[in-house]
Amino acid sequence: MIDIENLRFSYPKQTDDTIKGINFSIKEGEIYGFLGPSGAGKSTTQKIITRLVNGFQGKVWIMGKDLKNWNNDYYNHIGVGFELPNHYAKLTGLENLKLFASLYDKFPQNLMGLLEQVGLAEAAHQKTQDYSKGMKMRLNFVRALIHDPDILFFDEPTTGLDPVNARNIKNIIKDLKQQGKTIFLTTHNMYDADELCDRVAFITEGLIKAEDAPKALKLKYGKPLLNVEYEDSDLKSVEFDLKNLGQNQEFMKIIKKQRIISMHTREASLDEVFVKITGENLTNIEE
Amino acid sequence: MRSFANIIKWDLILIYKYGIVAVAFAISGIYSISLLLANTEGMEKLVAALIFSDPVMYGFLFTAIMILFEKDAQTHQVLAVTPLSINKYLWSKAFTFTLLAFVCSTIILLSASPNEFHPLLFLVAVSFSSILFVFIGIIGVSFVNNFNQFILLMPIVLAPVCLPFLDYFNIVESWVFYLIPTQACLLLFTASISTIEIWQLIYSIVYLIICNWACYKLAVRLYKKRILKTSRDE
Repeated sequence: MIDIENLRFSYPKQTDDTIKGINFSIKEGEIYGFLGPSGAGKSTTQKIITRLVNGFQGKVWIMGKDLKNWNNDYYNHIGVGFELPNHYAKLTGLENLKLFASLYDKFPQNLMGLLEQVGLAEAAHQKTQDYSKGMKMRLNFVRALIHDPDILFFDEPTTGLDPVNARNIKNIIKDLKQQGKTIFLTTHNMYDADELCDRVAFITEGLIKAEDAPKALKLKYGKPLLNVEYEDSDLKSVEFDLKNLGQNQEFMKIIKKQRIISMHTREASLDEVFVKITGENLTNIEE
Repeated sequence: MRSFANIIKWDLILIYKYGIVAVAFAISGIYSISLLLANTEGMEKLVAALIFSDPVMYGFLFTAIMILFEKDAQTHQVLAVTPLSINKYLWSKAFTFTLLAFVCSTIILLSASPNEFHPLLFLVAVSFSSILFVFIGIIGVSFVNNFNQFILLMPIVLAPVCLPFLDYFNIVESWVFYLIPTQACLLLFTASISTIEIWQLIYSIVYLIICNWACYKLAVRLYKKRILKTSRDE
């Protein structure tokens, strides 16, 4: 669905490339996570794919067609969910959706149905200037869906949302994948990426440093150990190699005789993998 | 074409909701009442100047206000990822504010009850002048970030633009004023309620077509570069 080959880009008056020759492909119906710190080139890559900047080098193919050969009809096929709220304050939530829906060629989706999906049905006729930040973010999210696009770009879709609404948004993203939509997700949130993405790419300094399924990355960079916490007069913790665990006498003795409090494999978190590969920490980074 | 009609419809709704229509009608109302109370017999030049300087030149200010509202709400970047072209977006603004200028100008004109009236020339005068000032407004607003900065910029833009009034009211006469498009606007408005030389009419129409086209091209370029900050196709 999206094929990027040796993509290079530099902004005018800059000597160094912002994007230094990246390659990746996203299959139809796949959720692809683009993870990286501020200034890594995530937004620039998204701007190139959404045709907001041109003058890049390399090949960008979207739906089997060279990006340079698409006209404005391209926007009928993609939907973009921005990181920050951007609505007409004097219009209601429903009017905002109607305005943007009227600019697409495709017959718009059931707009009230979309608002209902993100819990905004009751606020549909309320001006967006009276919305909370979370409500504006949810409106941002559904606006990307109004024309039923084939490819979706979401930038930090759960930022500013309470846990219940964040869960709802993640469920909708999973539903969209079930419907066959291709999703390009930019996020700092490793938990969201881990839960939602089929594959993730770590990008820093304009280069993709690693790309794989989250599970594969965690296994590759984690330790094959099992951590067991048990009670033996006081709380004790011990680690066992996963290899031949069933033949490990000490492990067998503990699980037979002691009260087990918890057992966890020591696979790395996606956050830890990112730090290991790139040497940078994503936590608390604001872009 | 459907998206162009739709964006015009929404621009009309937006200028209504943001109170721009109310302000424009209030100003026109004040002017109209003043003209109804005053004796405007033989004051065609003053009436023409009034119509030009108010509803038409306000297009400059209103366009800037509307774009600053959109800039503040960051809706430009959302519009940029829809099939709506930049050309259509800018022409929609030009059409919307020209329609508003036409309605307000007509109200003022009817209040003045001129002895002579050429509707076609009046339509041409309002359209060409309003479109010109809408595009000048877009050019101006591309250099500022908020309304305060725009207020400071206004005299810098409007002072040279207003120079032809000196010639128009016979204070200073010079051919140099014919280089400023305002001269052409004033002549066209005069032609709509009075009589001007044929060469002046031809000059006004041709010169305003050229100036409008140049301002439009510059507005597109600056809108892309300074407001949208994109190199998206037009």
